[in-house]
Amino acid sequence: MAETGLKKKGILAELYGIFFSKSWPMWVGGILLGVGNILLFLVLKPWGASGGIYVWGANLFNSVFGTGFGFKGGPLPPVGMFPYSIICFLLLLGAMGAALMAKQFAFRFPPVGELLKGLIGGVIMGIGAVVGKSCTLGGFFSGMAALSMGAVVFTIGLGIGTWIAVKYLIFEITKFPKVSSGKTASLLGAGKGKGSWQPYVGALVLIWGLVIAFKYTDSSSVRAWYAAIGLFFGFVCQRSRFCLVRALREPFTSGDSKPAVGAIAGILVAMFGFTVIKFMGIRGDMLWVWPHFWLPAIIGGIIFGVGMTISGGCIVGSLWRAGEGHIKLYFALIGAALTMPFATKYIAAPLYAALPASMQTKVFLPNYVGYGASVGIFVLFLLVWYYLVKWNERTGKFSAY
Amino acid sequence: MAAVVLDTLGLKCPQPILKMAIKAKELQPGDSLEILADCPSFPVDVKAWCDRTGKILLFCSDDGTGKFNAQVQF
Repeated sequence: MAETGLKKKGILAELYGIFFSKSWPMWVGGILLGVGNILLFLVLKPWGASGGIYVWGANLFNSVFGTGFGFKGGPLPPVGMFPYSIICFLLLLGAMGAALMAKQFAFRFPPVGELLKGLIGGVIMGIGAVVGKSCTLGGFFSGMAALSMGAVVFTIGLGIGTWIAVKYLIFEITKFPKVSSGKTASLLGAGKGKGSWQPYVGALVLIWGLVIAFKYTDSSSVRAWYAAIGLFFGFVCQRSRFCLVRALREPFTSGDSKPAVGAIAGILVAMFGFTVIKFMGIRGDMLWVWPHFWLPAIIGGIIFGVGMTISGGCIVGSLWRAGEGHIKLYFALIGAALTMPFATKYIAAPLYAALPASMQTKVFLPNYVGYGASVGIFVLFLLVWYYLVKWNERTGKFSAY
Repeated sequence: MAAVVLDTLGLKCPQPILKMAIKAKELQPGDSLEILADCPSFPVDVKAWCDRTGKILLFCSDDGTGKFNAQVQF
């Protein structure tokens, strides 16, 4: 019996090891997130993050200062009722649970200069998100899968912004190394003889997330599924270290192609599902095709790209790293949440009022060339991107080092 | 032959690798660079950097407290 018990323990330990002993390949993360994105679209709409963060910030201002911010021309939804703010919170929770389960959780306090960069990067991201009507999800990961040409333009903007910010980071480290130097601290981390509590607390956090999702079934099955899929997204992002910032940044820094391959895999999978959903008329074909083609998409993409590279995470990257305990990314989220309501009112609204209609259109490629050719064009775009990052990895042509 | 230590504790990617790459420009063949880091992405990043630049990663060990100690031979 004792031997059987040991064998059972060994099997469970093996199962734990499969999930938590080391990070999953990023392409595995990309595929799982692509599948999750399809499920989300079947439930309601594709994956997005900036809308949820806007609702966090606007609700805070409305409740504390009575500012009266609305949302997309209507009343502001409460944080707990808006599916995209639910998904953001559950994503953070899922990542926290996964990090604890893997004994990778710790509150990590970087030098003060880095905290400020997190906050400033978040503010810049917030401006870019409202100007471009997108973030790395709506205007890149989900937008490309939705066959939106605005997403292609936004993605090019992201690339340009990332390149500019990488140049800045190198300049800063070379000329002003003290910005990223100083006192650091780490709290509650696992280590020799400590932190064995983390997997147990991680399991409780994940169970708490599932309970939240289950509780939503009382009021709305859509919110319940958004909560459950958000938890899954956070778990997958943390375990695979899936990062859209790295997908765009690494070609300009280390040359590592793995993050880009992960993003490409996720977009390809989601594109296949989205195309079936739209083609069959299950959901509206203009969903996740934003009216930002072309000028707001390129400007917003550049601004967002600069912000996310300075802060070290886009909205979703900041959420899962915040779940892992990176204090800098909490500052990035605070910066974005506090900026977006004001940037919407005082920057995006006047900008869109001044722009001619031809510069803020929705361009859904199948409306021009049909579904078959559209998918072919997007797959070709992804193949060229794949080839370029692999070629760059071997040659270091665009890498900083 | 110099043995240089670079402390990147508290910094998350890409700062540790950027700092390392900039420091690398000052080093000569035969020198060694020891890097202290606590970003969870660091072990993967330092291996990728060494593979790409042809440097030898002698080791990248976790001291059990989430802190990594890597040594790169130039």
